[in-house]
Amino acid sequence: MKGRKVFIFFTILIALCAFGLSAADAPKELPRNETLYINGLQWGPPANFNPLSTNAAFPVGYVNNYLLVYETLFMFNQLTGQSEPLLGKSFAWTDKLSLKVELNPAAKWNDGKDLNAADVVYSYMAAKRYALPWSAYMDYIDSVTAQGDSTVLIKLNPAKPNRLYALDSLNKVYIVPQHVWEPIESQDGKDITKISQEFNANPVGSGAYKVMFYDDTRIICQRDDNYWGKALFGKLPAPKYIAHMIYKSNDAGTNAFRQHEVDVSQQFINKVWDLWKKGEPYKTYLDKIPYYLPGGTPSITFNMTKKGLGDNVEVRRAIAMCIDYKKIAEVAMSNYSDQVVPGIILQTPSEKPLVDESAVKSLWYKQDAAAANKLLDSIGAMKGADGIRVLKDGTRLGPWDVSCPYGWSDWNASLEIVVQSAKKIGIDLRTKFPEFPVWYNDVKNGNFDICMWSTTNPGVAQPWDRARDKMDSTGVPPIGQPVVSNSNFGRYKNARADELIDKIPQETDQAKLKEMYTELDKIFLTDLPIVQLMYRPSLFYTVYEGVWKGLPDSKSNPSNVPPTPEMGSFIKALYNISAK
Amino acid sequence: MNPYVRYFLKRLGWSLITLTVAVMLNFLLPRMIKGNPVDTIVSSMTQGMTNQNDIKRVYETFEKEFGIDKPLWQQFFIYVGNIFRGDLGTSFGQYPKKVSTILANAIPWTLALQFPAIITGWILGNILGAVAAYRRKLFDKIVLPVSMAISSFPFFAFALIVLFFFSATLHWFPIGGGYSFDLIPTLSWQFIGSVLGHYALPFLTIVIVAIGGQAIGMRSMAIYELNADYILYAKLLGIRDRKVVRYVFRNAMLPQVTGLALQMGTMVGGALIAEIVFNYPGIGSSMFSAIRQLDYPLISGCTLMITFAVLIANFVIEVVYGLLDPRIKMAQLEDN
Amino acid sequence: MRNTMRILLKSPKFMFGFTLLVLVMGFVFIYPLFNRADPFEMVASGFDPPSSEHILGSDNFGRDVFLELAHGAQASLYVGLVAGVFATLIGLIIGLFAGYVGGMIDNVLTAINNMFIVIPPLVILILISIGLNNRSSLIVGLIIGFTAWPWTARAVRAQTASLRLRDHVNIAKISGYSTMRIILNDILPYLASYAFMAFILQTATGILEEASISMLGLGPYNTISLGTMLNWAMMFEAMGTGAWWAFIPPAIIIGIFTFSLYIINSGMDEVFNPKIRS
Repeated sequence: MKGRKVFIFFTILIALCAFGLSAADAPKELPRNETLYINGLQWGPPANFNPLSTNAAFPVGYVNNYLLVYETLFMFNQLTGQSEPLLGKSFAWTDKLSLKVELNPAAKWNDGKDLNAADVVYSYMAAKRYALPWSAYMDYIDSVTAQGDSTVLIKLNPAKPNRLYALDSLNKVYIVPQHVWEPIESQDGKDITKISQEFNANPVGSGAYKVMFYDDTRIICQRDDNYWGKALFGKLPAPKYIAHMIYKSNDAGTNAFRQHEVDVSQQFINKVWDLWKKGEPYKTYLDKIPYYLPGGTPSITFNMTKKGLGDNVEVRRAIAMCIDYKKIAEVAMSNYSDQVVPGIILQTPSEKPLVDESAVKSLWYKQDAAAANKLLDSIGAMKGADGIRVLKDGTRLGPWDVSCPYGWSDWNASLEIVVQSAKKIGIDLRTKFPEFPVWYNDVKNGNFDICMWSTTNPGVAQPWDRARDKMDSTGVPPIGQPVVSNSNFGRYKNARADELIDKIPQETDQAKLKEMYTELDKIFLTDLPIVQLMYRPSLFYTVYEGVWKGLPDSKSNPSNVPPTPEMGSFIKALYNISAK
Repeated sequence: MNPYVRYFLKRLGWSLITLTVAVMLNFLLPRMIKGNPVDTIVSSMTQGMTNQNDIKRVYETFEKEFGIDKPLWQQFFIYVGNIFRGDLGTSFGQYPKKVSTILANAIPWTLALQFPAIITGWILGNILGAVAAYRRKLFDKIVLPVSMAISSFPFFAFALIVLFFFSATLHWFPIGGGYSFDLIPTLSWQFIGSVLGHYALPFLTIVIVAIGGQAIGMRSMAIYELNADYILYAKLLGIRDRKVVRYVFRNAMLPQVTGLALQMGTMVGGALIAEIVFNYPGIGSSMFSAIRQLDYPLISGCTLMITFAVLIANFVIEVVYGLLDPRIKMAQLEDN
Repeated sequence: MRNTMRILLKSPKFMFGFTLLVLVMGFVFIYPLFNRADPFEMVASGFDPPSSEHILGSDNFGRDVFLELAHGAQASLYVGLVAGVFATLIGLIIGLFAGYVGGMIDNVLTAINNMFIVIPPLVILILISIGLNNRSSLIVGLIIGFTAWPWTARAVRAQTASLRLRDHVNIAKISGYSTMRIILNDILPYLASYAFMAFILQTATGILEEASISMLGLGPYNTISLGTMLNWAMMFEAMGTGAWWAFIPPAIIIGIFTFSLYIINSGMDEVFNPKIRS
């Protein structure tokens, strides 16, 4: 009886395994020393591999600028701030409104066809016809035309000439094959909702890798040995396969990393130094605090229409002065952040020269609960019986919600600390952690008191883009309607700031630029529409060196590879590594 | 009419009604959640778009596709109609994947894990309970408290501790997932071996907790039976112990069978948690991510699948019970 | 009543469970009277191991785990009690009504009952929880109670149905007493012991369910409860980084609570159902 049961059981099990099959002719096992495993860049089953879609999966997704399958004209190097050549060879301004780009004649698509100016023109101009992930650039670009097979001319919109965005687009716009997508356009009746839903399981890109296998638990790319980039880099990338396992949560992914199942991890790992404590071959880019390079500053954004908060700069300043930043860095970020220097610039070699520090230093804030209390006392905000202050006009300082999505553990922890800090100076804040879609919807519509969000990613348009993202009020709809892109949730409005933000991208004189940035920084620090909580890398970079050697770190990085997994010129790392 | 058939039809009738209510709940509850469901998917689809008209167009397309522009009762009938056609809607979070596709991939894993585990746990638990009831003294004094202790520990925590102790620390079992990270599903012995290896820990965890729960109930039932007159009589007659135990077992089993039917719901809930903890690619994990993304069609699909499976199991068990218990036949005959 | 109490006090199982419960509750309620600090206060760095200053070390925020345990247990107990009361109340009302009145109403209520038993309660719990914007401990308790009443209702109905046929009830009916009065005076007292046992079980379930639902992230907002402690520990990978003190103590306290309640229940079972006594 029992034996029969077992037999039936196993037969069913085998049958079920057969049921769950996909690729029939895929290799049965990926050789460990030919496969580079990554995690942290894909959190759910792949929706599609369509570069024109906004929710494409790794390795096609637009947001993080992967260059594995589709490529851009140039690649941004976060370490040096430079745009390095890829599909493009060089670029130059021929006049105030025209940017000429020379293409690399060796560029080819993985189906063998040549990649030339027509494809570049197509990729840009399609964003004018349809709402594509990079359509935002086309507000500022009038036209992109081919001048022969290997040259394109980008002409700016004379009404909105934004040189910074034009340069940024060189690093961000995916070049897609016209001969593939033009037929799809007609086939789908020129309807973007249909076009962007094409699954595109075998993407025709110019990159070094092709999508080989995917299911709900993993995405695997295989190297294309006919990759044109051999001419540019001198050889092919070392890993034959790049695999991304899809983990359900942060801890599942980190567990796998600890078990040597992942080589490059883009996840937030608590107390990362514990990994190499016992001598195991793990490392981060920096070998001591803060371990990761800053890429932005997650900040709390105030709803500028909220009574007591938006109309009262002293309250905002008091909040800025009461927060225990040290605790946030230590507890929430495992010390992956130095003390934040407030302002619109990051303290990097490329951004520091843009602002006159002496002019703004006096406006910097740091944690000083006593001073915060004094400030609030000075405006007549008296503490009530429950310990919470009330303004002279009767507005109670709270209860205000401070929100961020549930499950973003480092942010959740930071906000808990913010709430505790505020309690000490008599401001009543409460944390709120709804699910991401609900939270996102609320903040876009302005239904929040204080919310937490990050600043825009590093790029050639920084620090201008960071300031624009938080301070520009052009096109921001009133509360109740959603903002486009993720800018200015708090509906901050300052006419002079708008003016400066408009003029900076058109200015070429370095001295004048410095003046303008300094003034913008002053406005930022005086009005405090956001309070920056900590530094955070744009992408985390933790590496297991047990299989692949040669991944960059601060001590050994001969090709200046930025530690930003899969983004921009990180791709250079793939050429320098070798497996045992 | 044959009494069995009557019983069968009666149970079928109630099962169908329960199913209808379940479908209605599955339809209504997620829709009562605050916020327009289309908002979330439009948000992600229009990332980076600047033109308000474009965004509006996308919004309207999705509204029409998901039928949100129609009144609620109409939406319900469309929903039911779709279910009959096997169309459970389109997922928000994994747009444009269909919910039925996602579930079809996940169900085999869940079925393979849960039902064997629950049934094994049930059988072992009952055996344990019966033995404990019969051999009172030492065995009983240990078994009862231990099973109680196991079933009082929060399952989630228990599973996590098991995971960390046996996987991360002792490395006896893999850390989770359905199969090894460097394998691709093919019909090979290596793959199957890997599947079984990953199967072991979640399976064991569910079994242990199920045993705990069952043992207690079975013990009470068995004790009850042991004190019945016919047992005393049988003992007096000198019938061998082993035969007596068999009688006890059979009689005590009946309410346990019913118990299994009723417990199915709770056990499935617990087993889902096991899937989440062990990162097992079944319905539990799909539901977990669906919750995080507020992916209503997928949440509805998962809960509907789970309820449906439990209802079927319930129905089967009740029919089996009807065949097992001669008293049912008597009751039906009397009714006639 | 006094007789019952005396018998209970003699039962070893009941005493064991009761003592255990009293000890734990003692810690939970008395310790905060000595240590009046705010459990939300972050007094140490994250995941500090147990030391003389903080007996159970600190959690991921740097909060004192020992203090959190006391406050968290209070919150979990609160949720469990709310769930228990709510579930028992609904179960009693529906069970009594269905069992006594019988007929069509009985059939309908039984059908509804079966539906709620069969549909996995976790599923309903999840569906309702994600829809709510403001989850306080009270609301979470109510939701848990709402999914747990069917068991009580079922058993109450069965008992009521058999009680209904007893002589004293018939006499009351003939005497012309109202349905309400009959239920309250002649039926409910016989169910009292069972209702109380059910209440204990439901409270235990409530505590366990609170832990489960909090670990899924659907627990009460801005509250420290045993479930939310487990949730934070899980999110910050306490087990993975070896910080067992942030994860295991809350789980153990939940276990102790539930275990003691189960044993009390088992003890009472032996007293009220003599056939189970050795």
